[in-house]
Amino acid sequence: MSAPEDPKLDALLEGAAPADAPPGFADRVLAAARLRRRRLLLTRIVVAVAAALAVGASVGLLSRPRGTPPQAPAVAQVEPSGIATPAAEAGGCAVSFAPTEQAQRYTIIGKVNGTLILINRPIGEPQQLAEAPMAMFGSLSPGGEGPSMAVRFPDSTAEE
Amino acid sequence: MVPDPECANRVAAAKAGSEEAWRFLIETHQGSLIRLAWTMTGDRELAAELAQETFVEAFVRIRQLRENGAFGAWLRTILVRAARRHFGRQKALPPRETEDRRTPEAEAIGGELRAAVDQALASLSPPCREAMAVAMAGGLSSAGAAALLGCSPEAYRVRLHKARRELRRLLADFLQE
Repeated sequence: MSAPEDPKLDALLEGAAPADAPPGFADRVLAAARLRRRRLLLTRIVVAVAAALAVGASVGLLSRPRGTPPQAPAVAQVEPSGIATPAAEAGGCAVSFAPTEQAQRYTIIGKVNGTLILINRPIGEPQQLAEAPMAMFGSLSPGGEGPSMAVRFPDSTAEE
Repeated sequence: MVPDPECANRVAAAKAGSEEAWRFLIETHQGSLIRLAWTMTGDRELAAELAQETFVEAFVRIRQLRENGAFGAWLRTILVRAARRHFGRQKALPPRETEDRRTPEAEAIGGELRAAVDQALASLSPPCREAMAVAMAGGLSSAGAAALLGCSPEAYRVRLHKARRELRRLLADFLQE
């Protein structure tokens, strides 16, 4: 060591220094180390689970179709009142069933803000629609087959 | 410092998870580590706490040690950092009374000398105390001690010189006996 040494001072400090570790020091260290290791392990598990959940949530969000309209309703599950014809001119409507000779009403299925709407329009009595609309609202619910949607209209005939 | 082959073997076993190896390493290094911590703090109880904290940190980070033979030097590095963290936290706290540092051990025979040395060490500035501690621990050149403390060899020598001068002044009564 290039710093000036002072043997007398060093001896004095050595003499005053703690002789050894307190009794049971090694046991205390090992117990504290085991506790620290368990805490670290627990922390890593919590972080890993949180990361896995975050990744899962991200993948779920990314895999959801965005900006594309939902699948058309499973029309087969709705009993039509007539012959189905495309209704391109009807904004928001998916299918319009034109009346047959025997039919007494139009049945129009449309979607507004994600809600499926069934409109029963009596034939030849348009004024009744304004006074007492016979529109019914159905709910969209996930169907059993892929992305198709089932349509349920609770007791629609009773409304007529 | 010459690496101890037995110590290196025990470090390898400790890395593999042997608690017996850890006990050997603790019992081998505890004395020198506590003395180093005491020189850095001037507080015997705090020295034991810092030494324990050092061993615990080494326990959970042992796989980061590349050279098994450098275990002792690695422990000293951890201790220096632990002491600095402690004194960093202490800055916000009011200084403790000198009498608080007196333990029953210090009140026994030779207690006056121990208390005086404790007080003298505690009154040094942290950089001077660190330099004195590393010099007392031995086994390191000026360059090695400077590297451990994160300063230049010149700065280390200046701090050590100041520490010795201050200790000689504070402990003059005991040095003349």
